[in-house]
Amino acid sequence: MAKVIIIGAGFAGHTAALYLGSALGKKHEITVINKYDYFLFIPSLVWVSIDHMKHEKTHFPLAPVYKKMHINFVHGAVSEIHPDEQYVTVVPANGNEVQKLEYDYLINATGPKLNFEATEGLGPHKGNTYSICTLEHTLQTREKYLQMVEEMKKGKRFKIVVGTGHPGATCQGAAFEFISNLHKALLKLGLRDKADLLWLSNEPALGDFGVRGVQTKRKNRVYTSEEFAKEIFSEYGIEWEIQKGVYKVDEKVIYWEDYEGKKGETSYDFAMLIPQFLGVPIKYLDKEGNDVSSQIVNKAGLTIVDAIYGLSHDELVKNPDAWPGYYQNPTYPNIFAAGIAFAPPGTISRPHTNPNGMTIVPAPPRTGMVSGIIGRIVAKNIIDLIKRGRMTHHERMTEMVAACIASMGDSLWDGGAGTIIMYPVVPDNRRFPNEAGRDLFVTHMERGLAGAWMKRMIHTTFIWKFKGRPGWQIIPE
Amino acid sequence: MSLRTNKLYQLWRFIVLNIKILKAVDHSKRS
Repeated sequence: MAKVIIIGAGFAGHTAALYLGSALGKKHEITVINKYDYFLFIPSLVWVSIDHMKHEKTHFPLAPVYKKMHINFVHGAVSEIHPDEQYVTVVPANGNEVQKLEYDYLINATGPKLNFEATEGLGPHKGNTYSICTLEHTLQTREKYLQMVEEMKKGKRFKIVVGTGHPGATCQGAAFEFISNLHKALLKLGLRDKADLLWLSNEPALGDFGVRGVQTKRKNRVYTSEEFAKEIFSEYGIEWEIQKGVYKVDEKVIYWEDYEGKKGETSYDFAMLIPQFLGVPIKYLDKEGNDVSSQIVNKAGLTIVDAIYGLSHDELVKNPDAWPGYYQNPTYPNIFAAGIAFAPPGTISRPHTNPNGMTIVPAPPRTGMVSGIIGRIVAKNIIDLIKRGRMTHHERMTEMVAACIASMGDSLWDGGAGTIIMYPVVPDNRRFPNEAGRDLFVTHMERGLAGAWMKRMIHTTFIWKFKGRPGWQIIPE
Repeated sequence: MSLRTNKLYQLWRFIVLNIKILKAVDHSKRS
């Protein structure tokens, strides 16, 4: 009987758990360890933040799903991994004694540590800004939003800044959805004239989204995500400032450096800024208790996998095979990583280091679909290893498709969304020798009401899938 | 009325987008 442990139950970890549980749950021991006892559908938090969706609709308890799939569930946090002796230590959420759990295969799918501390004054706990990265943060943001709405009704005007709160932050898509939904919500309330909206980001170009932008064919010409974003922001009356690395936030001002090294300030009344993402801190110890983390994780705490690390951006652009395909640690081949937890070989967008030494570039985004696909690949390879002794699944981000639906108003009557299909996620100029490095026939971008219907459909079908209900396997990640 | 908000046209786009996504998923190396 093989023992598989999955750390984390987000898009990557939970997808892996469903595949492993359904294939091996009855004969082998599958265990999920998660710091929360619920699954959270993060893409819909943007609607919770503007009070357009009840938060109860975005999460459900994990234990009943895992019971049905023959998976053990431990509500707690992993504090140590002992890769030589193949066990992890877990601090249970209920305050009970630390548990020791053995494994034959381990999947690290912890998601990110939200590193608000990297930017002075950032974040909802010790800082001055808001976030929609977790349920707790989203509820705080909603409370502040509702309070602002009341004050706007009395005539007060707010300057709202949305974007990235660190020179290397990612997840611009979530921030884009937030600012678009905020615009639509205030418009409906008749309060749009009471808010000045500003997009402040580390992207090299507007609409870059950390994926070097998206280019599609439209009416015999190349249409870019930069044009797409400019059209939307111009129509919505949203100002934008890009190529900015935020390094400090105080109660009224956001401090940043730009590409030229110039320091600047942006005043604000309310800000939702995405922090830097790091790997979740876990101790990696050998038999003697020595730290072996350098063999498993990089300096950011992200798990080292079968990628080629250390290439310059230009070399990485020329070498799509540098991106990992198995998501397997080379030193400990029974350790895998999925979702945000794996260390990418570099950024997708072009990095820029300013004269002060600040590198301003979005980290590669690993959206729900990408994380889910990686979770499936890792799970299927572990099933292969247990059943056949060799892996048969392999998919790099340079071979992977992703569909991103960016909500721009949740109403099914007059809402909208931008639907972006990217193939591949990471441009591959070797296979697609055009400027974009992508298949321009598959890659697609449009906006309209249909996108709002798509987004709502995805919410419903994915909750169905993640609850492991009948037919869950036929719903693509 | 803009095509972006025209319900009939958007129903057509909804069907097209679903097909496009399913085709794209199939087109990629679905391992």
